[in-house]
Amino acid sequence: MREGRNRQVVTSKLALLLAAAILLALLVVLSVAFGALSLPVTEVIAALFGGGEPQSRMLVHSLRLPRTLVALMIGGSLGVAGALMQGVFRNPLASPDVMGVGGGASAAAVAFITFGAGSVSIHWLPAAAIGGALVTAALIYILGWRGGSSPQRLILIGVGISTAMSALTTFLLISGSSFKASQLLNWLTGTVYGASRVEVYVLLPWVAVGLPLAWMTARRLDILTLGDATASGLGEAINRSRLLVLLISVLLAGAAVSLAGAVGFIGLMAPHIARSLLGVRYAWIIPMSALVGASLMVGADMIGRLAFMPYDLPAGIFTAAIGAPFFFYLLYRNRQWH
Amino acid sequence: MKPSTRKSTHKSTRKSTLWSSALLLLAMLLLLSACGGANQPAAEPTNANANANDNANQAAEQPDDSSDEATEASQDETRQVAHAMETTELTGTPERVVVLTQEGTEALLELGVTPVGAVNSGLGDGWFPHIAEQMAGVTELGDESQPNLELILSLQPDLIIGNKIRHEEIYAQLKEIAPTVLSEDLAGKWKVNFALYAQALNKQAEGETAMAAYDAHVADAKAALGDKTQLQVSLVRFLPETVRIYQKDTFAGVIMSDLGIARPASQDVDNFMEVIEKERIEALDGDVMFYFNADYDEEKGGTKNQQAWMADPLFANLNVGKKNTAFQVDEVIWNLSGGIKSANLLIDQLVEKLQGIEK
Amino acid sequence: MNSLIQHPLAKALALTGAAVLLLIVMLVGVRYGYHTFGMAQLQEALYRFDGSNEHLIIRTVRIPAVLIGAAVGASLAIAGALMQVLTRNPLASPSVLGVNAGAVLFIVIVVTMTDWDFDLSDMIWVAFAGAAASSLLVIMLGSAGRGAFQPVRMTLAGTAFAAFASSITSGLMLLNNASLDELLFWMVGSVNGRKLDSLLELLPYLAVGWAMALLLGRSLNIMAMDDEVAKGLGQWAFAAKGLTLFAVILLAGGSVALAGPIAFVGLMVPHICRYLIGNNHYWLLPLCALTGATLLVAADTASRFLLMPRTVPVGVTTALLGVPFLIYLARRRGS
Repeated sequence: MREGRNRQVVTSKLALLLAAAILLALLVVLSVAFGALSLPVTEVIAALFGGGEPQSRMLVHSLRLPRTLVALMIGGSLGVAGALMQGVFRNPLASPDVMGVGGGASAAAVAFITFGAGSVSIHWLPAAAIGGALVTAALIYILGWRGGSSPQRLILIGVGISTAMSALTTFLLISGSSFKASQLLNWLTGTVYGASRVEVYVLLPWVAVGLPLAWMTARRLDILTLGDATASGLGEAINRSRLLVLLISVLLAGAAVSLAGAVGFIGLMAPHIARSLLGVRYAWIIPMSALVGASLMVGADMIGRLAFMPYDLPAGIFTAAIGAPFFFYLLYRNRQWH
Repeated sequence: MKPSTRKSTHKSTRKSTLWSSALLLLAMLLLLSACGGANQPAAEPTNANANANDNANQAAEQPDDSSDEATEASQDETRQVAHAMETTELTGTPERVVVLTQEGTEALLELGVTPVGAVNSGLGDGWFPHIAEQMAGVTELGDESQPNLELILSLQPDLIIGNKIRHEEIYAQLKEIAPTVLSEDLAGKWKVNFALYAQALNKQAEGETAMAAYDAHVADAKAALGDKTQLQVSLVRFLPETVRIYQKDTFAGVIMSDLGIARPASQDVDNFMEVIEKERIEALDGDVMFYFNADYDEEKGGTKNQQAWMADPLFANLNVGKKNTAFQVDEVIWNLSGGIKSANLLIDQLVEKLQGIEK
Repeated sequence: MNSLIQHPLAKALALTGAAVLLLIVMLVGVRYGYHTFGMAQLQEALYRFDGSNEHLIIRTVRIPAVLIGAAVGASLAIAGALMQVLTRNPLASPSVLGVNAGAVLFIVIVVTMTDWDFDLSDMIWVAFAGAAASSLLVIMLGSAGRGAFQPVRMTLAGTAFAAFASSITSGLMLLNNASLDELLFWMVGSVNGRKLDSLLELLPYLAVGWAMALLLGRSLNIMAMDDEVAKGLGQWAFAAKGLTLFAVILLAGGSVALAGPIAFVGLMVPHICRYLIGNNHYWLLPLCALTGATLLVAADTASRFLLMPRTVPVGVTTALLGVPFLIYLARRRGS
């Protein structure tokens, strides 16, 4: 009997996941179909499969599809990274941007452009940004280690490091030349402008391996959320688990931020939406966060491209704009949470 | 006892698998991202490059240098144009040109070519006043730092002109749309860039004529100024929250060097610009000061800042304050547009103002 | 909790010492920088002003910077102490809890989205509104629920709010084609380049804030002790909290309007002072004021030398100083 009801619950959750996937697919199609250059949808679909005019094919395969795919992967990575962090820190407000990963990547990116651009190809920027994210995460972890890795302490230190990185970024911006400034500002807000096939190929391995890996930690996360005492009682090596999950989270977030800049709020919003739809088990939350995050990013990028033509506004503005009311709602709803 | 041991071995196997996969992932991905990020993409797998492939031709090329003298400009000849990113082969005279920098726009117009698409002036509505008439009907492509790729594609250009500082990241995509030429630098390099663009447009002869005319203009101006060139000219920009001095590696700075005009010590350096606080207000001083205000909206923050500074008693103590030799000039011509047309206009304005000064 | 200095006489001496230190630091701040001035020049500038550049710089650049630094430093330190008591969160401060960012956000919204041609006095009200909105928001979390410590959640909420406020701020500025310098002006505070008149305009509000804080000393002491005891005060507790919040808004809002968002002064100074002089707010607040002023003036003077001849905004320096301090605090708490 209970088995029957469980199966029902599982089925309905699967249905929700499927619905989210369909929504995402729809957003992807819309994103590929619409843009500054208007083409009839039939033409777009033909181009997707290799037919249509040469110009349509180039539009779809070199411009729109790569950009949409990159936005999708970035949103998915950030959503999952946020879910992982919220689980590890047992705090609904933890996310990659707040925890300094974004800040570290930004500081590294600005340092790279200030000191290296011109002499070093701009294509090394993502590598520098990922390096910054990893160094920052390591710094937070090391500083937070004191006989153990308490989530509370890690959060506080993460917040502090994030502020330091932001101050450092400002310092570098001041001391550098002003020519790159406007481009930097766009990057710092978070944008997928200029995403091409190269970015798709670069990001794909991270996502293809990172997401499944993240999903495999689901059970650990479920145990960790029970609290340190309970978790170790259940035989879990808390610190190592935390480190592992954090590592995966930072890798995912770092990859995303290195390509698109510090896109805010996706890591915060997506897991919450997932949780409100599918409950607290991470086996469900992780894939849902990926789908929701991807949808958010693709949606924000579409708005940025379509609402202010011919200007191309950074998607980060809109994730923040959507994030704001959501954030307030969240704070209000969570005032009893702990 | 036994079951838990089995459970823990099972767990530890899973754990170490997870660990090793994570580490493997890390290594692999760092490697991949470094390689994948650093290389330019190889040949495009799609067959949607009708435009680009048309121009790749056969037979005799004359290897050109961007700084070389004229060669025979026959219509169907291919030429190698060496620019900031690589050497691109171009054929014939491009007719539909997309230009992604302000100075590039001026270069095109001077060479008698109207672009099909250009980046906006950044000043709000439309093009710079001094070229507005010639630019009527040209498609606006967005910001210089972030041109709209789809619009560029829709225009079906046969040549794209841009700059490495702004457009390096999108070079690969631009190249797919049409052969693309990027100049190396912005700041004070408009003359070098002009020669490059002339070559790309297959208008070397016209380019040289224009340059020769400019050089003649400079020589005339020098003669007209006589020893007024020894007046130290300070170049200042007032922005809403900052004040900058513009040094030698700027558009106006290069022109003034050509004219042999003296600069105050703080500005006689081969840099772009420096931010000056009130305490260092002497850096603004000279025999003459030309300033422009960065007013991008109705707030006119730049002008407000300028008025505040010039009302300050510290300013009254400066040479230019005492002698009243601080003059406002047009920011478009002196700083923003940055091409050969502005250069010629600037020289005229400069000569006119300086001749009015007693030495 | 035992402080370093216990005897009232010693405390009085400490306050005096702090005041003297402040004067010395202010003197150094006037004398050193891109130009260095001698004591004689200083005296001449004040008493035998002759309109020369040096005298002008001393009077119109250095002295205002030092006075503004002192006023803002004192205000932020007091505001931080008040917030730490009010929210029972030792990690509270106007910057950490997003109050500064909120004030800036409101200012930028008004500047970019309206056509008002306003001056500083209008700006103050906007800053107050922003500070009020964000502090209310974050306080809402702090005093909700059990009454147990929830410093982590409040800090996170404040940081997330600050992050949100600054994204919107930079987004708005991007949309308005603002230059990098304009952006930096609002993202990072600076006491340099402000006019003395601005300080004089804002001084009444700051002074009211200082006075309120000092007068609320007893209530603050009670609030700091225990929520149960505090509750025993009944209605007055609620009024006291409201007045404290009002003082915070005046002080933080006024500081942001004058100098932009300056981080960490409100966090570091109360802790240092509490360590020295204890939890009695009658002693603590004056010491915070003096120490905060000293810290900010010293940081500003040091900033002049970091990237000579460029000046680094003091907000960057305080952040770089404050973060190790925050980390030290986080590690010490042990939980």
